[in-house]
Amino acid sequence: MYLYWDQLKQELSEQGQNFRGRDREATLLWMACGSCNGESMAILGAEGPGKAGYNLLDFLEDEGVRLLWHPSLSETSPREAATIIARILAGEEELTMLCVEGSIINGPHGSGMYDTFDGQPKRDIIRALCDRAQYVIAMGTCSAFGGIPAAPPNPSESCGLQFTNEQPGGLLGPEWRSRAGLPVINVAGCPADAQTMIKTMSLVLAGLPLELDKFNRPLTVGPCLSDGITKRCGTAQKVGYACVGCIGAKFPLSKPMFRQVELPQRELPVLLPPRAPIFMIPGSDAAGNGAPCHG
Amino acid sequence: MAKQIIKMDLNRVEGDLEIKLEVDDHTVTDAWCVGTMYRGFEQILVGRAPTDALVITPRICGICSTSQLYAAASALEVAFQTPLAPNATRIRNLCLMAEAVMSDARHTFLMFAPDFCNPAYRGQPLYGEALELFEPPFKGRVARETVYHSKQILGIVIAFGGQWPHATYMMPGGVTCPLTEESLAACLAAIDDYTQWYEQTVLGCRCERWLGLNTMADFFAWLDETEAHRHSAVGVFARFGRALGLHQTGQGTPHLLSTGCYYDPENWQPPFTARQCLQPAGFYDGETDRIESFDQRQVAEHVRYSWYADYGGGRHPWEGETQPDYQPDGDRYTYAKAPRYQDQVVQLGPLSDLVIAGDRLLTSFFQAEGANTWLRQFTRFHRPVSLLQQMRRTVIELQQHFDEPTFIKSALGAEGEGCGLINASRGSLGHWVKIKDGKIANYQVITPTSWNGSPRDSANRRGHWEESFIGLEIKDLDNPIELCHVVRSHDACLVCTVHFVKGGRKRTFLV
Repeated sequence: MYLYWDQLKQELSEQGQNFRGRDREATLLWMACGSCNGESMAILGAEGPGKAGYNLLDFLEDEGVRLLWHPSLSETSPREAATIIARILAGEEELTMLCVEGSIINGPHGSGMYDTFDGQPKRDIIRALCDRAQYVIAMGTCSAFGGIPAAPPNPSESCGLQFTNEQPGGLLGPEWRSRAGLPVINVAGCPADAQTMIKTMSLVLAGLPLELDKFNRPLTVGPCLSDGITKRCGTAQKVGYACVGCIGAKFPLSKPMFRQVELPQRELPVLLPPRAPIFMIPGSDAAGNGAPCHG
Repeated sequence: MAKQIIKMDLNRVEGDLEIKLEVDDHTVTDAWCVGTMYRGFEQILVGRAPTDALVITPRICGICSTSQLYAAASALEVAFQTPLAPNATRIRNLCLMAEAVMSDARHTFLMFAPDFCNPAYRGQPLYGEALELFEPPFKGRVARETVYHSKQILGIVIAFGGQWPHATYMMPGGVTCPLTEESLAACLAAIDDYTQWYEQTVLGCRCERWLGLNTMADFFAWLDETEAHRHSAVGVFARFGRALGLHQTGQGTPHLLSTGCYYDPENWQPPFTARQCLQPAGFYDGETDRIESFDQRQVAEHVRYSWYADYGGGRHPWEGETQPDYQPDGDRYTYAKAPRYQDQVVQLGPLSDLVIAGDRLLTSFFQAEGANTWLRQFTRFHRPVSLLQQMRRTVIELQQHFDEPTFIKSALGAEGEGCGLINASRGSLGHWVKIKDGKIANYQVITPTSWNGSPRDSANRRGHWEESFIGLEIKDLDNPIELCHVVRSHDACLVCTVHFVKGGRKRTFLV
């Protein structure tokens, strides 16, 4: 189980970290591209480890973050949202965190017109916003790597922000850095776990150094509901199918995706096997296909 | 003022939505629902292992992924004629009901009700009360509680599926998870907690009392009975909504469709020919005022006004194609297809489902006032009450059948065709699959929003939403709140319109 908020705070204060390390108000803009809204739904606290769930609203309140816009949660009309975006692009509004959900859609024929905002390819708006943001966080495997929409034959010509599947590049290119000097922080998962999203944003706001792996995933990203220590994906096995490796960059490339793990009826394994090949997706290598989900 | 064409965009719709209206002075005279996003899930599925649909299709939509999973598993079972463990059907039904209960609360209190707090309604007598309960974002008491409780009820899905959304715990023959005492206890606790909140806050009375309301007159008598009834969430909604005249807007097509849902655990088995549903399927013909039986072969999709290669006329989904052909010029205007039933424009959703299933209270309203904005939303207050009872009964059945398996193993074939039809929280959802040489040869998904938000068809007939805007009076074109109510009453969810409507959110005067 990931650490909960108060545990995290306590941990940080024990390390002598000043949790409210920033001197300015933080802002957050959430953009949805080729998405299923799964991360938006998840961050309402709906998935994850039950009652102690900590959701986006609590996070915003606790951290004093001003939400500039969220497509399905904000009362702000889309027209006003277009104004907010214009203000950010003109440098009149500070953007601390840009969270992107959903794949970046480039089709048809590279035009980006399969997904538009304000008559423009949304892709182009995202690219411009990224250059204005202190931190860019890809919420979910789709915005990180392309995800399911980027599965072959990739009909929408989807990519992630800095990767296309496991290949560096994506929308921004591998060398791109945000204003704070970081690449896109890839909070992978399908959907990304609510606690993971919130914890990652908290670390970013606290100005703590973030350790990223070779797929630019912070250490907060683990397999769904893992205990964070053994780094095993518990969810799928507990209910009887092999982990689909959804935090992996090559997640949509694996075939077949579904494999049942027959569980004895009425008996749940209390302990998972220490090193189980069932975590591996057939035909995958270690690169990016989260083996076990943690690459 | 002369006729003008304007584009409207709405906030708080899952996925984006663009609506183009022709307005004569302040009255809507024509409408186009425009979808401008395409993700291509159907092409991704072709050539893959049939069971990959169990991983991929839930990811069509982060809001109703249980529905997608259930439909996908059913389509494969029909294709392979797989015997099914009755306990698995019980678990699937239970999870699908939990998702509907969650969705009804989130839609009503986070999407629909906040519109009552629009500044246009400052003069309304119930405005203050609406603010107290529903003020966005998440300031109103009920709105805040909804975030918490809608999450709790999903504990049922998590008990079996491990996570929500996007779990893959259903497969041909059953569910992947065994039945445990812990999971059943978790379900009962979730149902109890939710029921208690629902009674206290949403209804203002016991569920048993509510379920005793059989007619419109019963409901209005109940409303006047106590302060608790009048000031409950449903009481405030009912009074405010009717004061705004929402029961007189948004009628749309008179025809209703429900493909049926919640398979009967003991009787839903190969050859799967009769639809054995606890919530029966049917087609309500608005002209004859009769409910006819449903036949999936009467479904056809048109692409005359959609950005797809045109095959002329309508096609059954087994024969369907999804070949995008984006043409910015010309009269095509959307990535949504136009599904029709018996060549009729139909409306889907909880109201259609429950009227066709013979729900007495809703039928009484429907007979008196037809389908309308108020009644569609009222249904989302009413439906969870009976679902919570049915969920409890399902858990008890599972306890009674505790020693039976949740999965029956059988070999999957290499050839077959099947369709999986269930009612998602927004209306009937269908998956049609063809399998050849052990691979998916064709996969077509028709979501409720595809039906409701469909464009014109080959005969140039408007889709249901488009039709439901006609005649609507919009007082302030800069604050089209009347339109918001109509659209939201359909629980517009464009994320799940697989052919993938996603729109710019601009609202520009074109003329």
